[in-house]
Amino acid sequence: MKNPLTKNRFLMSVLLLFSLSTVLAACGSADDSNHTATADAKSNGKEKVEIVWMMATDPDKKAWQDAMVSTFEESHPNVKVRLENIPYDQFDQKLATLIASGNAPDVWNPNQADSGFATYMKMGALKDLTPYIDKGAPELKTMDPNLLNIYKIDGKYYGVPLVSNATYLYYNKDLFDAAGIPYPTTDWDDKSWNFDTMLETAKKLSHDVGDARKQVFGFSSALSANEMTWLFGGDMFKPEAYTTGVLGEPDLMKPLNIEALQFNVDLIHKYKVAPDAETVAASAQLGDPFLTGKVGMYISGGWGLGSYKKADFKWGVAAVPYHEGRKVPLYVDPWSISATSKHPDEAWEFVRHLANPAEDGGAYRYMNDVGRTPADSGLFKLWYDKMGGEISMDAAAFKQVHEGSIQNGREAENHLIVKFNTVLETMNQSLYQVWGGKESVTDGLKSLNEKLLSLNLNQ
Amino acid sequence: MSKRTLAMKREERSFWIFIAPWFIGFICFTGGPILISLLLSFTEYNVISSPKFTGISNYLLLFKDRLFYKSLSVTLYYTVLAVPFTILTSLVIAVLLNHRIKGQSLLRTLYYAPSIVSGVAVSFLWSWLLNPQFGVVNSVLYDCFGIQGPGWFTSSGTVVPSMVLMQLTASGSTMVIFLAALQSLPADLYEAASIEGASGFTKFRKITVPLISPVILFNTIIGMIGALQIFTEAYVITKGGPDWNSYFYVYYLFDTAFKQFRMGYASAQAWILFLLIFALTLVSLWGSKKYVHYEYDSK
Repeated sequence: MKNPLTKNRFLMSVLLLFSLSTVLAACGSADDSNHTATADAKSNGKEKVEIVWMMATDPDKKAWQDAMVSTFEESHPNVKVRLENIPYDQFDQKLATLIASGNAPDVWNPNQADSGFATYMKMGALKDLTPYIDKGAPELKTMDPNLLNIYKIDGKYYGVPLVSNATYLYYNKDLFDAAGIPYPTTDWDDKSWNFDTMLETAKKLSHDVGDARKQVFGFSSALSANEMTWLFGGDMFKPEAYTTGVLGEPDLMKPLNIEALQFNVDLIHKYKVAPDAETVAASAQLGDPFLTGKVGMYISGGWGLGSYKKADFKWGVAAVPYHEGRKVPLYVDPWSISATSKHPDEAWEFVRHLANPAEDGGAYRYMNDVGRTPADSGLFKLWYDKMGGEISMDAAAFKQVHEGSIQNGREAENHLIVKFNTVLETMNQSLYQVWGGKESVTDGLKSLNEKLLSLNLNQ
Repeated sequence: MSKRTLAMKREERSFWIFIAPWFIGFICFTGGPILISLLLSFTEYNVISSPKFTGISNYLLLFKDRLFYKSLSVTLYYTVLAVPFTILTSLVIAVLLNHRIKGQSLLRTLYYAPSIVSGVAVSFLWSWLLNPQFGVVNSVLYDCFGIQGPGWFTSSGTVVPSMVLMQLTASGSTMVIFLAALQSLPADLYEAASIEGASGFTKFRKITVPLISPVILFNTIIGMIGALQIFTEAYVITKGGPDWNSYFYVYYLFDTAFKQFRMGYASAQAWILFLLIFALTLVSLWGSKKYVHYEYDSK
């Protein structure tokens, strides 16, 4: 290479190649280095490993999360837990990207996202935890086997329950007192508390509907249209949808479904005791409608027990009105480990820590510090006393409401049906005109049926 | 082949060295993904398991998908309203800001300023302004004029027009391009026209518009491409609702990719959008030939 030009050209191409390969390596996989790190850690047992714990952002839970990380790191000095908080509505999207790039978090709750457990399960993103559970985990001794079985698919466990939210009728005591009406019953079997008596109560609570500044609504709910039909004993989907996870052909036109939806439409337009679609959309921007203090009765999930603590009015919980065949949604959330986790053993140790019902254990503190319904039956007594005190209700009455809800409950739709977020969005969009009173219930259901079938969700 | 001098070769070498960062970046982060998405559009790919070749079935499914047509029609409706609205308002503002008045540069800055704020922040701002229950706009309408304001983003009929209205705070760059074009116009033409007794509006119509017609065309095409890709407003404010009336094409694409995890299907959607934009651009270039005047036309 005497010619300086040839030499330069050679140097240049080397440079180009080099830089190209660096960039490609950077966008490619970072796994290689991690793999060697794991191997090292295993060989000398001292190297620190890092596991990632991903949670949706929630200020109510932040202190608990930080405490979990620090107590675990104390007892497991060779493990570092990195907590990642992702805003709820970006959870699915962020998770998809992480899974695709081979960087899935080690420990997470698949039901935090709208897609839900079934979607991630079907995708193959979750690890089979059976070998770990079989090896013995004292933390799970007091766990109700029925709850554990929710996340047992084809004989394999894919999740450890962390919370078991029920559904209640929340009521605003201040509004009830002002109208001089007695509080609704805590007894789920009291057949005199049905949708007719609920409507009468709602009428007495409502006033100034239509005047955005003064209006008070007797009733509203956070239920999806499908869950509204459950309350009347109906169901929009076939039973197989919930067991196989595949939506299949919906079953929308059942008379009970139409009865349930028509009742809810009538609450809005005929009796004017519930907010219409536009009002709900507008007030959703402020957060939870019940927290505005303008709703007398509100059917929603057990997370309200924690989040309504900041309400500036007094409230209580009661039974959902009686109807033949009534079912309410239960929301049992699990901890899961990613199928691709590079440190599954350490991740399992962390799950045990999170599920520990002993004082200072994860499950205990989740119940005690965050106020969520425990999954572990060993904690129920403590929780009844604690919640009863907080909402100034008799602990026995509170227990009655909660146990009634469990007895009348079934697992939430989005935990069981694959891609339920899309089904839910399709449901909400297609029925908007029905809630607006611009389309009949049957027409809305017909258009929903067409949309659901053209989605090709079973692909 | 002509003989190249040493200087030319050196220059060529510098060219390659200086272009390398962009070139590599393009292959890795733009060109590569574009090609891969074309390949993915012929597969079924759920992010975790490896892609499965399915031929053109994604495209066939798309043409049977009701939401595909709904999202396409909503997006076209938005484009048809938003592009003329943006062009007209930003041209009018540009003409006004071109007048020599006191505080001219301050005004120009003020009108451009909203464009540097992120689309998400602007969307939040508008969603609060236009909230039918608690928003400023409806409160003013009610308190000052006794008018019950519309539902804006929450009602099927007004959601797209409301989003068009939002473009008021996003047309800064279009306005700046118009302003630059206006400033390069020769003063003598206007002087001549004034001597002939032409009115201000005639001057605008007969001199300004023809002279800046290439810029109008450019802004229209750029605006059209942007409008067809509208996403943020729907994502932040309406989530595609109510009743699918702001379920824009790219929002649907995002849903299939990141909520349903159907990357193949989403890639097919992306390529259809690309072809659509490409075709519409060609049509506008071709259809506007008669109306656009280039100063140094070679004809």
